[in-house]
Amino acid sequence: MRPLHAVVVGAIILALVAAGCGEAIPSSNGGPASLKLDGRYLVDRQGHSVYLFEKDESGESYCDGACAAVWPPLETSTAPQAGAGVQGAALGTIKRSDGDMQVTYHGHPLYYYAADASTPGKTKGEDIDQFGDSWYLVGSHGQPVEPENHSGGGGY
Amino acid sequence: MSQLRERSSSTTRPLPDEAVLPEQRPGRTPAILRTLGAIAVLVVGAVHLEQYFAEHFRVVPIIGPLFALNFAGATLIGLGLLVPGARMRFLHPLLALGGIGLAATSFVFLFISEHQPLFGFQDYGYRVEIVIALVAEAVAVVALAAYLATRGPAGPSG
Repeated sequence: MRPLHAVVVGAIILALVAAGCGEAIPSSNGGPASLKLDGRYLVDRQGHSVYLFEKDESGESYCDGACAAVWPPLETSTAPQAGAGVQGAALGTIKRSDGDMQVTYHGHPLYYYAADASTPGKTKGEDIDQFGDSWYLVGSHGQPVEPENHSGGGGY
Repeated sequence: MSQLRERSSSTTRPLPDEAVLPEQRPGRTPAILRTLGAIAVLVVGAVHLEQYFAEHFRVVPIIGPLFALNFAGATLIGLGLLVPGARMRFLHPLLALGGIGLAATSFVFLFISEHQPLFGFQDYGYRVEIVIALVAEAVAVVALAAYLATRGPAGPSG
Protein backbone atom coordinates (compact mmCIF):
# COMPACT_ATOMS: atom_id res chain seq x y z
CA MET A 1 0.00 0.00 0.00
CA ARG A 2 1.32 3.44 -0.94
CA PRO A 3 1.85 5.95 1.88
CA LEU A 4 -0.91 8.21 0.59
CA HIS A 5 -3.43 5.38 0.56
CA ALA A 6 -2.34 4.36 4.05
CA VAL A 7 -2.97 7.88 5.37
CA VAL A 8 -6.46 8.11 3.88
CA VAL A 9 -7.45 4.59 4.95
CA GLY A 10 -6.06 5.27 8.43
CA ALA A 11 -8.12 8.45 8.72
CA ILE A 12 -11.30 6.63 7.73
CA ILE A 13 -10.66 3.78 10.20
CA LEU A 14 -9.92 6.29 12.97
CA ALA A 15 -13.17 8.13 12.22
CA LEU A 16 -15.21 4.94 12.27
CA VAL A 17 -13.67 3.90 15.59
CA ALA A 18 -14.36 7.37 17.00
CA ALA A 19 -17.96 7.23 15.80
CA GLY A 20 -18.44 4.09 17.82
CA CYS A 21 -17.16 5.64 21.02
CA GLY A 22 -19.53 6.13 23.94
CA GLU A 23 -21.63 9.18 24.48
CA ALA A 24 -19.44 11.95 25.88
CA ILE A 25 -22.22 14.54 25.69
CA PRO A 26 -25.74 14.19 27.06
CA SER A 27 -28.41 13.49 24.48
CA SER A 28 -32.03 12.43 24.44
CA ASN A 29 -31.11 9.12 22.74
CA GLY A 30 -34.13 9.20 20.48
CA GLY A 31 -36.74 8.00 22.97
CA PRO A 32 -39.42 9.99 24.78
CA ALA A 33 -37.87 12.71 26.91
CA SER A 34 -38.61 12.67 30.61
CA LEU A 35 -38.00 15.47 33.08
CA LYS A 36 -38.00 15.64 36.84
CA LEU A 37 -37.10 18.20 39.48
CA ASP A 38 -33.73 17.74 41.17
CA GLY A 39 -33.81 20.21 44.03
CA ARG A 40 -33.96 23.65 42.40
CA TYR A 41 -33.80 22.75 38.72
CA LEU A 42 -34.98 20.28 36.09
CA VAL A 43 -32.98 17.29 34.93
CA ASP A 44 -33.69 14.49 32.49
CA ARG A 45 -34.27 10.86 33.36
CA GLN A 46 -30.53 10.20 33.70
CA GLY A 47 -29.99 13.29 35.85
CA HIS A 48 -28.45 15.53 33.18
CA SER A 49 -29.19 19.21 33.71
CA VAL A 50 -31.31 21.05 31.14
CA TYR A 51 -31.17 24.76 30.36
CA LEU A 52 -33.17 27.56 28.80
CA PHE A 53 -31.82 30.24 26.47
CA GLU A 54 -32.94 33.80 27.16
CA LYS A 55 -32.72 34.64 23.46
CA ASP A 56 -35.53 32.19 22.62
CA GLU A 57 -38.88 33.93 22.20
CA SER A 58 -42.43 32.77 21.74
CA GLY A 59 -41.49 29.12 21.97
CA GLU A 60 -39.09 29.44 19.06
CA SER A 61 -35.48 28.28 19.24
CA TYR A 62 -32.78 30.77 18.28
CA CYS A 63 -30.03 28.23 18.81
CA ASP A 64 -28.89 26.50 15.65
CA GLY A 65 -25.64 25.55 13.92
CA ALA A 66 -22.63 25.89 16.22
CA CYS A 67 -24.91 26.89 19.10
CA ALA A 68 -26.86 23.63 18.79
CA ALA A 69 -23.59 21.70 18.68
CA VAL A 70 -22.46 23.21 21.99
CA TRP A 71 -26.01 23.29 23.45
CA PRO A 72 -27.67 20.12 22.10
CA PRO A 73 -31.46 20.48 22.05
CA LEU A 74 -33.42 18.13 24.30
CA GLU A 75 -35.21 16.18 21.60
CA THR A 76 -37.99 13.65 21.86
CA SER A 77 -39.70 11.22 19.55
CA THR A 78 -43.05 11.30 21.37
CA ALA A 79 -44.78 13.48 23.96
CA PRO A 80 -42.39 14.27 26.83
CA GLN A 81 -43.14 12.75 30.21
CA ALA A 82 -43.38 14.64 33.50
CA GLY A 83 -41.61 13.21 36.52
CA ALA A 84 -41.63 14.31 40.14
CA GLY A 85 -41.94 18.09 40.61
CA VAL A 86 -42.64 18.80 36.93
CA GLN A 87 -45.95 20.23 35.67
CA GLY A 88 -47.06 17.88 32.91
CA ALA A 89 -49.34 20.48 31.31
CA ALA A 90 -46.38 22.86 30.91
CA LEU A 91 -44.43 20.35 28.85
CA GLY A 92 -44.62 20.68 25.09
CA THR A 93 -42.63 20.39 21.89
CA ILE A 94 -41.59 22.57 18.99
CA LYS A 95 -40.40 21.50 15.58
CA ARG A 96 -36.82 22.56 14.87
CA SER A 97 -35.56 23.73 11.51
CA ASP A 98 -34.09 20.26 10.88
CA GLY A 99 -37.48 18.66 11.56
CA ASP A 100 -36.63 17.20 14.99
CA MET A 101 -38.93 17.73 17.96
CA GLN A 102 -37.50 19.73 20.84
CA VAL A 103 -38.98 19.66 24.33
CA THR A 104 -40.31 22.91 25.82
CA TYR A 105 -41.26 23.74 29.39
CA HIS A 106 -43.52 26.72 30.00
CA GLY A 107 -42.75 27.66 26.39
CA HIS A 108 -38.96 27.57 26.83
CA PRO A 109 -37.10 25.23 24.46
CA LEU A 110 -34.76 23.08 26.56
CA TYR A 111 -31.11 22.22 25.93
CA TYR A 112 -28.24 20.23 27.33
CA TYR A 113 -24.76 21.73 27.67
CA ALA A 114 -21.90 19.86 26.02
CA ALA A 115 -19.46 20.80 28.79
CA ASP A 116 -21.57 18.88 31.31
CA ALA A 117 -20.42 15.77 29.43
CA SER A 118 -22.21 12.55 30.23
CA THR A 119 -21.83 12.92 33.98
CA PRO A 120 -25.21 13.54 35.65
CA GLY A 121 -25.43 16.40 38.12
CA LYS A 122 -23.07 18.83 36.42
CA THR A 123 -24.29 22.41 35.91
CA LYS A 124 -21.42 24.09 34.08
CA GLY A 125 -23.85 25.97 31.85
CA GLU A 126 -25.48 27.77 34.77
CA ASP A 127 -25.80 31.54 34.23
CA ILE A 128 -23.29 32.00 31.41
CA ASP A 129 -23.43 34.14 28.28
CA GLN A 130 -22.92 32.34 24.97
CA PHE A 131 -24.26 32.81 21.45
CA GLY A 132 -25.75 36.18 22.17
CA ASP A 133 -27.58 35.76 25.46
CA SER A 134 -27.71 34.07 28.86
CA TRP A 135 -28.31 30.44 29.68
CA TYR A 136 -29.96 29.27 32.88
CA LEU A 137 -31.04 26.15 34.64
CA VAL A 138 -34.80 25.76 34.63
CA GLY A 139 -36.92 25.96 37.77
CA SER A 140 -40.10 24.02 38.53
CA HIS A 141 -42.26 26.86 37.14
CA GLY A 142 -40.11 27.37 34.04
CA GLN A 143 -38.27 30.31 35.54
CA PRO A 144 -34.51 30.82 35.10
CA VAL A 145 -32.67 29.59 38.15
CA GLU A 146 -30.11 32.05 39.45
CA PRO A 147 -26.93 30.66 41.01
CA GLU A 148 -27.18 30.23 44.78
CA ASN A 149 -24.37 32.70 45.41
CA HIS A 150 -25.91 35.30 43.04
CA SER A 151 -25.58 38.88 44.39
CA GLY A 152 -29.33 39.41 44.00
CA GLY A 153 -29.94 36.78 46.68
CA GLY A 154 -33.21 34.91 46.93
CA GLY A 155 -33.37 32.99 43.71
CA TYR A 156 -35.01 29.64 43.65
CA MET B 1 40.70 35.54 -34.30
CA SER B 2 38.20 33.36 -36.02
CA GLN B 3 39.57 30.42 -34.02
CA LEU B 4 39.04 32.39 -30.83
CA ARG B 5 35.49 33.26 -31.81
CA GLU B 6 34.84 29.64 -32.65
CA ARG B 7 36.22 28.45 -29.29
CA SER B 8 34.19 31.00 -27.41
CA SER B 9 30.95 29.97 -29.02
CA SER B 10 31.72 26.32 -28.40
CA THR B 11 32.05 26.91 -24.64
CA THR B 12 28.67 28.60 -24.31
CA ARG B 13 26.71 26.18 -26.47
CA PRO B 14 25.78 23.03 -24.52
CA LEU B 15 27.07 19.78 -25.82
CA PRO B 16 24.44 17.28 -26.94
CA ASP B 17 24.90 15.07 -23.88
CA GLU B 18 24.69 18.08 -21.52
CA ALA B 19 21.53 19.46 -23.03
CA VAL B 20 18.61 19.86 -20.59
CA LEU B 21 15.42 18.50 -22.02
CA PRO B 22 12.20 20.34 -21.12
CA GLU B 23 10.70 17.33 -19.33
CA GLN B 24 13.75 17.05 -17.07
CA ARG B 25 13.41 20.58 -15.73
CA PRO B 26 11.86 20.72 -12.27
CA GLY B 27 9.24 23.26 -13.33
CA ARG B 28 7.10 25.32 -11.04
CA THR B 29 4.15 22.94 -10.74
CA PRO B 30 5.30 21.14 -7.55
CA ALA B 31 6.07 24.48 -5.88
CA ILE B 32 2.66 25.87 -6.79
CA LEU B 33 0.89 22.71 -5.56
CA ARG B 34 2.91 22.72 -2.33
CA THR B 35 2.06 26.38 -1.69
CA LEU B 36 -1.62 25.82 -2.49
CA GLY B 37 -1.71 22.80 -0.18
CA ALA B 38 0.06 24.75 2.57
CA ILE B 39 -2.44 27.62 2.37
CA ALA B 40 -5.37 25.17 2.41
CA VAL B 41 -3.94 23.44 5.50
CA LEU B 42 -3.51 26.82 7.22
CA VAL B 43 -7.14 27.67 6.41
CA VAL B 44 -8.24 24.35 7.96
CA GLY B 45 -6.36 25.25 11.14
CA ALA B 46 -7.74 28.80 11.19
CA VAL B 47 -11.34 27.57 10.93
CA HIS B 48 -10.79 25.17 13.83
CA LEU B 49 -9.24 27.96 15.91
CA GLU B 50 -12.21 30.23 15.14
CA GLN B 51 -14.65 27.50 16.17
CA TYR B 52 -12.61 26.77 19.30
CA PHE B 53 -12.76 30.34 20.62
CA ALA B 54 -15.56 32.27 18.90
CA GLU B 55 -18.08 29.41 18.82
CA HIS B 56 -17.18 28.02 22.26
CA PHE B 57 -16.18 24.57 21.00
CA ARG B 58 -13.44 24.63 23.63
CA VAL B 59 -16.01 23.46 26.19
CA VAL B 60 -16.95 20.35 24.21
CA PRO B 61 -15.29 17.24 25.64
CA ILE B 62 -12.76 15.53 23.34
CA ILE B 63 -13.78 17.69 20.35
CA GLY B 64 -12.48 20.91 21.95
CA PRO B 65 -8.94 19.59 22.55
CA LEU B 66 -8.98 17.97 19.09
CA PHE B 67 -9.77 21.38 17.56
CA ALA B 68 -6.82 22.93 19.42
CA LEU B 69 -4.55 20.09 18.24
CA ASN B 70 -5.84 20.54 14.70
CA PHE B 71 -4.89 24.22 14.74
CA ALA B 72 -1.43 23.52 16.19
CA GLY B 73 -0.73 20.72 13.72
CA ALA B 74 -2.07 22.64 10.74
CA THR B 75 0.03 25.70 11.61
CA LEU B 76 3.16 23.59 11.97
CA ILE B 77 2.58 21.70 8.72
CA GLY B 78 1.37 24.71 6.73
CA LEU B 79 4.27 26.96 7.70
CA GLY B 80 6.75 24.12 7.19
CA LEU B 81 5.48 23.56 3.68
CA LEU B 82 5.89 27.26 2.89
CA VAL B 83 9.56 27.29 3.89
CA PRO B 84 11.61 27.16 0.69
CA GLY B 85 15.09 25.76 0.25
CA ALA B 86 17.02 22.62 -0.54
CA ARG B 87 17.25 21.72 3.14
CA MET B 88 13.51 21.09 3.17
CA ARG B 89 13.77 18.68 0.23
CA PHE B 90 13.30 15.64 2.43
CA LEU B 91 11.01 17.28 4.98
CA HIS B 92 8.45 18.65 2.52
CA PRO B 93 7.14 15.21 1.46
CA LEU B 94 6.72 14.21 5.11
CA LEU B 95 4.91 17.45 5.86
CA ALA B 96 2.75 16.91 2.79
CA LEU B 97 1.81 13.45 4.04
CA GLY B 98 1.04 14.95 7.45
CA GLY B 99 -1.10 17.62 5.79
CA ILE B 100 -3.02 15.01 3.82
CA GLY B 101 -3.59 12.97 6.98
CA LEU B 102 -4.76 15.98 8.96
CA ALA B 103 -7.06 17.27 6.22
CA ALA B 104 -8.48 13.82 5.39
CA THR B 105 -9.14 13.03 9.06
CA SER B 106 -10.78 16.43 9.62
CA PHE B 107 -12.93 15.96 6.51
CA VAL B 108 -14.14 12.49 7.50
CA PHE B 109 -14.70 13.45 11.17
CA LEU B 110 -16.64 16.55 10.18
CA PHE B 111 -18.74 14.68 7.65
CA ILE B 112 -19.59 11.96 10.18
CA SER B 113 -20.41 14.46 12.96
CA GLU B 114 -22.94 16.13 10.65
CA HIS B 115 -24.92 12.88 10.46
CA GLN B 116 -24.31 10.99 13.70
CA PRO B 117 -22.63 11.57 17.06
CA LEU B 118 -18.84 11.46 17.05
CA PHE B 119 -17.40 11.11 20.57
CA GLY B 120 -20.99 11.93 21.55
CA PHE B 121 -20.76 15.22 19.65
CA GLN B 122 -23.02 16.11 16.75
CA ASP B 123 -22.71 19.20 14.60
CA TYR B 124 -25.72 20.96 13.15
CA GLY B 125 -25.99 22.19 9.59
CA TYR B 126 -23.58 23.11 6.83
CA ARG B 127 -22.94 26.69 7.95
CA VAL B 128 -20.35 28.88 6.22
CA GLU B 129 -17.46 27.77 8.47
CA ILE B 130 -18.26 24.11 7.82
CA VAL B 131 -18.31 24.64 4.06
CA ILE B 132 -15.01 26.58 4.17
CA ALA B 133 -13.44 23.80 6.24
CA LEU B 134 -14.67 21.02 3.94
CA VAL B 135 -13.49 22.85 0.80
CA ALA B 136 -10.09 23.68 2.34
CA GLU B 137 -9.64 20.07 3.48
CA ALA B 138 -10.49 18.74 0.03
CA VAL B 139 -8.14 21.23 -1.64
CA ALA B 140 -5.36 20.34 0.80
CA VAL B 141 -5.67 16.60 0.11
CA VAL B 142 -5.80 17.02 -3.67
CA ALA B 143 -3.04 19.67 -3.90
CA LEU B 144 -0.62 17.88 -1.58
CA ALA B 145 -1.26 14.50 -3.20
CA ALA B 146 -0.62 16.08 -6.61
CA TYR B 147 2.52 17.71 -5.21
CA LEU B 148 3.84 14.32 -4.08
CA ALA B 149 2.97 12.81 -7.46
CA THR B 150 4.55 15.55 -9.58
CA ARG B 151 7.56 15.85 -7.34
CA GLY B 152 8.49 12.22 -7.86
CA PRO B 153 10.18 9.91 -5.37
CA ALA B 154 13.57 11.68 -5.36
CA GLY B 155 12.78 14.84 -7.23
CA PRO B 156 13.26 18.44 -6.24
CA SER B 157 11.20 19.89 -3.45
CA GLY B 158 9.57 22.36 -5.76
